[in-house]
Amino acid sequence: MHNAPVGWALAHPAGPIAVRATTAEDVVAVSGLHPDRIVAIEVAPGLAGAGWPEGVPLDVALEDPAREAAGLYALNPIARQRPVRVTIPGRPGIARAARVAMALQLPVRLLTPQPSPDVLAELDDVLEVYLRGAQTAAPVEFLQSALAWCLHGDAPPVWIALELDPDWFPRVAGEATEACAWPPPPAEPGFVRARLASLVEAGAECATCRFREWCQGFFKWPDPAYRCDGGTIPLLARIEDSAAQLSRDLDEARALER
Amino acid sequence: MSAPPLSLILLPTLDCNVACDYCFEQKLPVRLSLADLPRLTASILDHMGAIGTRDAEVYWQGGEALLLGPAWFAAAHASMSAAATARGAAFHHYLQSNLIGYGPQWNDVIRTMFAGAVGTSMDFPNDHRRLKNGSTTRYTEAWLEAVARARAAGLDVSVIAVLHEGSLRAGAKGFLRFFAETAGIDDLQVNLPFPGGPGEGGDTLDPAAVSRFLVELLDLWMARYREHGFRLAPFVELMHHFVGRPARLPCIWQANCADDFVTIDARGQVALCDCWVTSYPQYAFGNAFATPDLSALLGASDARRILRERPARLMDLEDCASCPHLSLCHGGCPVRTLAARGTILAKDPYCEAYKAVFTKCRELAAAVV
Repeated sequence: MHNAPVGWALAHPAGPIAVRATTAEDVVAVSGLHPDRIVAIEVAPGLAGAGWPEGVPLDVALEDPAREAAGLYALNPIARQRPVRVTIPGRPGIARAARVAMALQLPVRLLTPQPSPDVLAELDDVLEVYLRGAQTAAPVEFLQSALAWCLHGDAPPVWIALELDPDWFPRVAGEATEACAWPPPPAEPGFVRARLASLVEAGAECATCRFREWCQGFFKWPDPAYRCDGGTIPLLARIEDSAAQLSRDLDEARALER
Repeated sequence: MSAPPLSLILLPTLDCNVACDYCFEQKLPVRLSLADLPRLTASILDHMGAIGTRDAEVYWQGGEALLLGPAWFAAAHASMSAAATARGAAFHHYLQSNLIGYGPQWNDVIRTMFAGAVGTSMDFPNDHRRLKNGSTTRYTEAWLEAVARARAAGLDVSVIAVLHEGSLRAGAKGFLRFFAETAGIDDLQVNLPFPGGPGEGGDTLDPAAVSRFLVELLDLWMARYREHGFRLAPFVELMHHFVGRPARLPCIWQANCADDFVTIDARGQVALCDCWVTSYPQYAFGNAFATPDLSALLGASDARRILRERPARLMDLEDCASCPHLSLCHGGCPVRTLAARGTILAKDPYCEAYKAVFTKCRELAAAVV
């Protein structure tokens, strides 16, 4: 599935696509695509209520989560008529936006490569709500795939869970909503595998990391010198602990049923 | 993916046959005529088409709805059903009545139009519901007789009880005993009062006292009534929510009630819900007879826009965004807030009571699981 601007999609009339729409003109242009091709339309919050093709899912990508969190309530009536996901960049306010999105039962995608210490603290807050808040009914990626991987060992790696692996989701350059404006991985076949191999060879933390199979060097992109032991590994360790507790609880429940 | 049903409150009359002193409605001797109903129905069906739904849940209230008589409702049912069927749509009707005018002449229409169910209202102790002669005692007697007759006729009778100072003084035990044992009902919803419109005695209660009462009520219900099938809302829905079952939470805890509810009264006045339509005319959305395009009317209404913006504004104005119960409450009820605080841009005055109930229900649900 390609992730591409509307213009590219119109010029390449075959295959499934996540189409990026950034202007009011794109609303008209998207109507020229066959709706069956459109897996999702990636839009800024201000365009979410536009006249998109009926039933087509929206991926609402925030730019400034602190400022835009409250406005997520405008998605409530839209989500009654089409699937809506909220993509939140790793910037201050990520927890506030994620809390509101979760309260509205909207799926969330946290785009947090190389989170700063402040963003890591907010991710801890999001994780707490995700794990223990009764309000969490929809998936919150990447937390969901990390938990599933810790529980079952066969969940999609984070690159795929976040739809960033170029082998699975080749991204066509061009206009982008701001949430995805960090350097996307290059559209090279086998990029994730090759990069992880080079990280391991260079002696990066990945070489001995127990989360490597799921992470595949995700948090080392784009800067290979980013220190995971300062934040992302403790965060994943919390998920790992929760998965272990959940497994014990499930075992106890099964034993009680017998 | 089809849109959920339209939630529509219809007030076919603003007249009433009783004189409750805390009522928030401005009573008026107006009734919706059967001659006007088809064009109102057409407006509603057009709007349902515009929002992409084929179903509407129609809540008939008043005033006192039964003042129109069973023949009126039978004719309204036939007219609305035919119009809906012609468009591939459907109305699902619900009736809320004080039951003071109930008699066996109503049974057929309640069975056919309202699936054999009727909602009614009563408080304990009854300090505010009065017959026109002013008697609360005689009101209670008449209501109990009507409930008994309706139940004997095989109708499902559910009750909404509004708490007041007297309820808090009486305590949860006497409160539940009255409804479950004296009235014999098994489906009760507890609502909290607000001092809207011309009424007196519906003052906003002290949230701490409400919390104590509701937690006591919840404990008692769990210990003695729930196992016997007594349905106590909103607790029963909260328990469903916390054990992971689908739950239908009350309007005060919707993500945004202004996205979901529309009320039309006998004059065609359109507002958010029955609490607004006569009590706060400055928040009216328009008139459905003057503007038959209901979608355009709603879209152009500044009052509706302001109400729809409320939950988002509360995220910036209050501490709701960091509240662990945000997904259940979203800032609560705008009309209770307006009545207590003079603005809708504040969180529900019963915030602390809701938190106490949410926390308690979550604990109880964990124990049940």
